[in-house]
Amino acid sequence: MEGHHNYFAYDYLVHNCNVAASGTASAFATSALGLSAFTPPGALAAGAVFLGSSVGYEYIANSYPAQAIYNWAFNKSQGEGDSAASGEGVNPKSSNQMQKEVERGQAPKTIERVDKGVDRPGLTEKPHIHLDDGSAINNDGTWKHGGRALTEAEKQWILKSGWKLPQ
Amino acid sequence: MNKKETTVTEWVMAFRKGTSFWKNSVHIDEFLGKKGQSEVYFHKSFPLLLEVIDRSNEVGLTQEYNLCLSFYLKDSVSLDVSMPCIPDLWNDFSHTPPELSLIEKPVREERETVECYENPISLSQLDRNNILGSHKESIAAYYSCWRSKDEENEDASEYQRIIVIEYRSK
Repeated sequence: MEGHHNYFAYDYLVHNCNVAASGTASAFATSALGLSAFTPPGALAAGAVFLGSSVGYEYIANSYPAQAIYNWAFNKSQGEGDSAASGEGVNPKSSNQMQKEVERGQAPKTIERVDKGVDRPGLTEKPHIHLDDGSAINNDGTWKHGGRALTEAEKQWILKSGWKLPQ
Repeated sequence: MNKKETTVTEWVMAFRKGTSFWKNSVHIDEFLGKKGQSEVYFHKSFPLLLEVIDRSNEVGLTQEYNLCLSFYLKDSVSLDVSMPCIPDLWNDFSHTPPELSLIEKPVREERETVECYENPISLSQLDRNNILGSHKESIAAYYSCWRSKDEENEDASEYQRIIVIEYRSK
């Protein structure tokens, strides 16, 4: 491995890679450069962080796995069930589910593909739909590329998938 | 509807003016004008990144932006700490074509992941024809596999995998 790459990557990891357990970035970077994996506390810890930073949801803590608590709370915070923001009462589909519909021909022909979101440090994208003219719309209704009037079929498919339409 | 196409020069110049249809990122297929095989995308990516670096340097964009080339790999069912098979990397591509992005400096947002693995890759392993050789001191490459804590509307059990080549001007 070339030296400057090592340094560059170390700099990147130490300063920029945020992991679930705070204060461990340096240890993580050292570990990664030594070809070993870092596995921060899993879903349970994520749920604990969530519970520790919020109020009002503690009553479900004993009944559901931590990840389920997180997902539920996240969906609530994103306006799940808000008919003005997304398909009324529709749980948002994942980009994988929607892409499978595209591949099966169950989406409008003008939908080219559905891409996953990315949330690596420094590289952040929302899940988004690519349309046949090159435009792409994010799951929150903002335009990633271009923008045009959606067809009725596109609108219905997006709403049925629980994603948001452009304002 | 006719698919919009672009060239690197058009994209960079339009981005500079704030009028880019593509905004800050373009998938490789949009430069090629048609869908191609993953292997074609892989090989075309390096000269396109070089062109983006050169055009961006010419118009001063690299003072404000880092440039990234991202190869999206198929999901894994667990934290995959084994490096992808570099010589045939394209066989591991997801349905999303490689993407070129301009990332504003300072770029680092605080993101939380449930599990994360990252490891640097030597650029020469990827860029076998040394197309990016003249810029290699400003380029880093890394492989990452992660499961997000706050990934919107995605399946919580999926692990995403990506290889990124990143250019930062000195």
